[in-house]
Amino acid sequence: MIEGVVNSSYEAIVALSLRGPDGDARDIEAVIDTGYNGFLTLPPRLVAELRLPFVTSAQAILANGSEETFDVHSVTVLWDSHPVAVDAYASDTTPLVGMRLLDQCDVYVQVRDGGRVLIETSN
Amino acid sequence: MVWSDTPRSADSDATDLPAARRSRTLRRNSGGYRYGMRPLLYGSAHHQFKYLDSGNWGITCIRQSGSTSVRGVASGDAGRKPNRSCLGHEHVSVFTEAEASLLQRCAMAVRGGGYLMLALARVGTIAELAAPVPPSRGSRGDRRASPTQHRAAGLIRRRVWGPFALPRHAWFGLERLGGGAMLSRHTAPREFAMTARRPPEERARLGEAIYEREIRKQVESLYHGAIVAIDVNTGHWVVADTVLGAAELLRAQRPEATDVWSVRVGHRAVYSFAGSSVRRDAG
Repeated sequence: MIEGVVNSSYEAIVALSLRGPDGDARDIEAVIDTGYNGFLTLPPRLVAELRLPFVTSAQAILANGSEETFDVHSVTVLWDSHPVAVDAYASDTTPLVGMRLLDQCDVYVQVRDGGRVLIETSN
Repeated sequence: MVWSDTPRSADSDATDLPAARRSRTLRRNSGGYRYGMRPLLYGSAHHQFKYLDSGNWGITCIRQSGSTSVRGVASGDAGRKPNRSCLGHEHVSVFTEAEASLLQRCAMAVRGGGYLMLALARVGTIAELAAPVPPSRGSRGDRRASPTQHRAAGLIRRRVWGPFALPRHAWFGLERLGGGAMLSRHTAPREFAMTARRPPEERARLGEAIYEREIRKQVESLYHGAIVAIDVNTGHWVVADTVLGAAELLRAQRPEATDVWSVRVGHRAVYSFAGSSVRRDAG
């Protein structure tokens, strides 16, 4: 089970451990974004620090309907203590957890300042 | 069951589909994942589960790509030690989702995480591996695990190979079992090029041009929602069900591919932040 919290900006925050190809690890906080149907977004600074390998470039549709080109990198996420290799869009925002990373999970959110976030994985 | 061609660019040599077609047994028993086979269609191989009894050995290829895991199993005859003859012949099957998940967890515990693993397991012991794998080799002093778990864990530890430790032709055999597009030679993420040579806008322009000109008509009707990865420098392309899977397959075939552009078939974009997935032809 993964636990998090709803912050004062009404964002559901969870802590994630990331691992790069050389074994470098970083703990980050990411916002659950149910409107994002990918796995993860990470700021380019973090991509560079972990030396995440470039995978591809690809288009994404932004919230305003426009299209933008992103670089996609691969990263290993420690998801409920299990390493999972996912692709991450390099985007200079707060890291986002998308719906594909939540695939097969049950997500509970107490939507209030300080509320709990629970992600139950199927593992 | 018809072994359909997986679309790819003309000069692709990753798989030997004609050889696979010649083998009636292989075709009939090909329980390996092929693109377009939904998890429920694993049921098409259920009749082969009779091979998955406790007397059989299975060699499984677990490739994790995003949230999708692809497993193919070639199991040998009861009582026989697994050997090369297990691969590509006779009994081919797949694990159930739950079984493969357990085995995958064990393999990952042994390897400390990884991208693609080959693990050997005695099929009947898989269910007993649900508990955590004992942490140390042998670990006889760990009383929390049952003797069966100890044996199984030791077995897994000893028998987990790097993919290239397999005989070359055996590994290719696995590829054929998998239908080519999904079970490819191992390319771990760390083997990807760290950077691309062209700027993103140029990759996008070239990639879209190649997709519209050469690929779209071939894939749009059959592979809606799949990912096409294109090497924009050579025009070589592959199709798979995930971004990582497609890139991995492309680089397995073309290690020099650095400028890769990916398209989700039938959609304007691979992912969306807009809360909906917009079809390409509706855009």
